[in-house]
Amino acid sequence: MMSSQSPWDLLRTGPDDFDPGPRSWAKVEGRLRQAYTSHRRRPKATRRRPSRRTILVGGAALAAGMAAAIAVPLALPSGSPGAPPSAAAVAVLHEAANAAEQQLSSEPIAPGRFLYLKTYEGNAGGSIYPIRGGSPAPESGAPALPGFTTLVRQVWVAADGSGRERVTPGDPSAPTSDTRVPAGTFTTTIVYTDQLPLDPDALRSAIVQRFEGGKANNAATLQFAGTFLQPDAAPQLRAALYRMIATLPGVVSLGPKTDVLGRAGVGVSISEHGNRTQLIFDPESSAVLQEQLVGSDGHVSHYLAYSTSGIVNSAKTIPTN
Amino acid sequence: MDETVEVISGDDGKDIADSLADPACFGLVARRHFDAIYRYIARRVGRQLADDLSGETFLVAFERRSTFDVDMADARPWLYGIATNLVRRQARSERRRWAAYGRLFQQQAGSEDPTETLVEHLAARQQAIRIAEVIARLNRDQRDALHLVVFERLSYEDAARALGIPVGTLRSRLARARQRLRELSADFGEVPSNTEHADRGRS
Repeated sequence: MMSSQSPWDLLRTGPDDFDPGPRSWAKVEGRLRQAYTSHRRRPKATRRRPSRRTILVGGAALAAGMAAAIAVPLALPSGSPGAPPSAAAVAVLHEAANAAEQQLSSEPIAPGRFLYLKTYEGNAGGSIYPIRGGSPAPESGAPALPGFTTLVRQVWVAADGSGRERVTPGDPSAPTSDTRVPAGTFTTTIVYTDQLPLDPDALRSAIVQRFEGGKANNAATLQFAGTFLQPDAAPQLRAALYRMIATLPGVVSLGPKTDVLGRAGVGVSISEHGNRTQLIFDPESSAVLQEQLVGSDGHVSHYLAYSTSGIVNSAKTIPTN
Repeated sequence: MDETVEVISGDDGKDIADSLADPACFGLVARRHFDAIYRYIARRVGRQLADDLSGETFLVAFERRSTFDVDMADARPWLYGIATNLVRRQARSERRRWAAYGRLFQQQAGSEDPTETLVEHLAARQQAIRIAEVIARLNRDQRDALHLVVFERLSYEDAARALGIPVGTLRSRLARARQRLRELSADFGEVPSNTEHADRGRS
């Protein structure tokens, strides 16, 4: 295969990777969503995002814990971007790291098998784009939060990064999208995590170099760490990720938090330009429960809750546990 | 060889027209073309700048969407044009990047198993390094034309539309770029022409 590449092909492919990661698209999504919002607000002054009270009342209709996850305390610890990690955050992150180190390694994904992951996602103020085509969605089970567009994402990832992605909108009238994707598509999943170093400093450096274009962004590093902290990641890596988060400047503890699925855990947070990237996890099991973004107005603008995971025999089955 | 997935198919003109009433419809256009625009920018100025500039491209496009000809089903030339204007502001970074390709390829070579690296591949890589050095010294107009036609595989018509110039002007810029490449480095083979295989696929 090498011999068929011309010098022009090599230049087109590049000496390094030109493919955007999910974080790149997420950034554009976020910027466009803000543009949509300001565009909508300009002509219609009466349209406004749900108030804090509205969200709390709506949350009460769901699990009480869910509201707790969405409601942001008025006086959050304000870890400034350059500040050293807070002692409380370091303690709880090290507790999770120690718990991870006690766990047994999981089997790698064998040929013909898939890692199944199910996540619940929500975006305040509507979706980045309307989902068209596909088949009508069955009941998705996504939490119905006032002012949020929600979805359930299920992915089946093969060892080469190929697989299937099924997205079921929370709105039952919206269609489901179901896509088969080629090798290399799932580039930040567990498939690639065996290439990450286990030393916390080296791990942080690797994430910055590989996924942040060499320009360190502590909030992005926290978000990537959350992505890699999936249940089937090697326990040593999970421990290293928690220890790495504990070194990030500006990381603070949020104390006890509950995710949108009602699961109890603790939270850590990093501020960036008034926005806060937060991770909720269970320090006793080391399981990551939810990532969320909180805007400068104090409202959650995005959440991603990790749910079921496991190895399955085909891209059509889900784990039984 | 592109391993991209068509995430959402559709008519850009219709979606942009719809976005005038419902801004979220613009997200369909953005998602449809994000990967291609990102790669174009990353190829020219590197990944460090690609996140910001690709986001900027779609924000500018969103703000200017009322000027888009909604009879056009394909917004790629328009988006490439916006991206090219943004990349031009980073001309110094781009020249540095292309001039540094030798080092980047050497790093790549260092991680390969030499017993599995074919002689032909090594030769192609050396040629690629020399071409990159020449591209770094092309003028801005020639580099834009070369990128859009050779690397992005736009047709001459689409590349000319992206740059806002007549097709004849694009052809002459390409011809001058090819001539310059021939003068500066004679043995790396003919510059690919894209007229016979214009890749109009979406990514």
